[in-house]
Amino acid sequence: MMSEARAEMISTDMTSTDMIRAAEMTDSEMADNAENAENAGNAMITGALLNEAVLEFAARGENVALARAVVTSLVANCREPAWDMTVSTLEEIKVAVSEAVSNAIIHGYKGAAENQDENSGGNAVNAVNAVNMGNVVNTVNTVNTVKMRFRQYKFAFEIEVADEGVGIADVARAMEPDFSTGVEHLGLGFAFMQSFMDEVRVESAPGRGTVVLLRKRLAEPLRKA
Amino acid sequence: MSFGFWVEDNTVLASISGEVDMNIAGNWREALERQLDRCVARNLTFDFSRVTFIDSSGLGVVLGRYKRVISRGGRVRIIGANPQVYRILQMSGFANLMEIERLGDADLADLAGFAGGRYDE
Repeated sequence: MMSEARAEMISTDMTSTDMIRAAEMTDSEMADNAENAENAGNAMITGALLNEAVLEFAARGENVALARAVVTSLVANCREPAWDMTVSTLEEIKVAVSEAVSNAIIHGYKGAAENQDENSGGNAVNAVNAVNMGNVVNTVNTVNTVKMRFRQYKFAFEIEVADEGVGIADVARAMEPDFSTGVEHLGLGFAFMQSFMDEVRVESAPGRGTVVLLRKRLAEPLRKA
Repeated sequence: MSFGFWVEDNTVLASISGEVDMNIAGNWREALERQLDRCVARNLTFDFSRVTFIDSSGLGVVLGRYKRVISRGGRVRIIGANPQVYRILQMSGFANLMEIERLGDADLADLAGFAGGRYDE
């Protein structure tokens, strides 16, 4: 999905290969790596992948609440005993997800699902507002959709929000707090994501859509004695 | 998710409930503008005591109305902010712009019981 042409803005210097490797590591390897990574000032170690869910939905305002609810449910109900998820932490994650999904709809698609709905009349609502959980199929590919992927790892979880919209020409600039291309949109979206999550990555290029990766650390990997 | 207005003396009380995100932002902004257009009250108070969630889309509506009211010499307040909403308002610098009153302790106890969780602030 990504190409070399995509602009990439990452808040850490961990590559996706590193992430995959981290997911496959054993606990003892993890402990070694965590120490090395920490010494080198690198990104978090995620640990093994424990759970994964995909939600694809039409780029419509009412589905932002759906995205928040799904993530809240997944985070609140995961079984990792080390997690001590407080109401505040859950609320922070909800804000970060809300900002990422709102950006996809408002900036990525310029509210295009709404426009399409207006053009085709009120009867189109049910067809336009298709929501797909689980396997990504072609039921909603006639409208603009946002795809959200949730992954729970042993030591972290991540939420990926992807659109196939207009993309961002200058990702670094878009992530500045006062930058906004929309009327009355505060430009606070990325600031909230960065404040509330431990890692935020944005990959985008004009005409190629945008992928926002949000990560939250849940517990530190065990250290060597 | 609903909103309403109450005008008393020189103040418009704008109440809104539920999750204030991009889904409600457009309609709420238009309603607020209409309300401010047709009454002479100078001040605007947002009642957030039934707001369970707000993100930058909702804050954008508040900030836009703040600019309008302030430019006419009025005053803007937010009342009834729950801890999460209050935190968002603080982080976004709103606490420097306007008076923000938090939700009372008694209301908070109810909220915590309702949510089945705890607040760690």
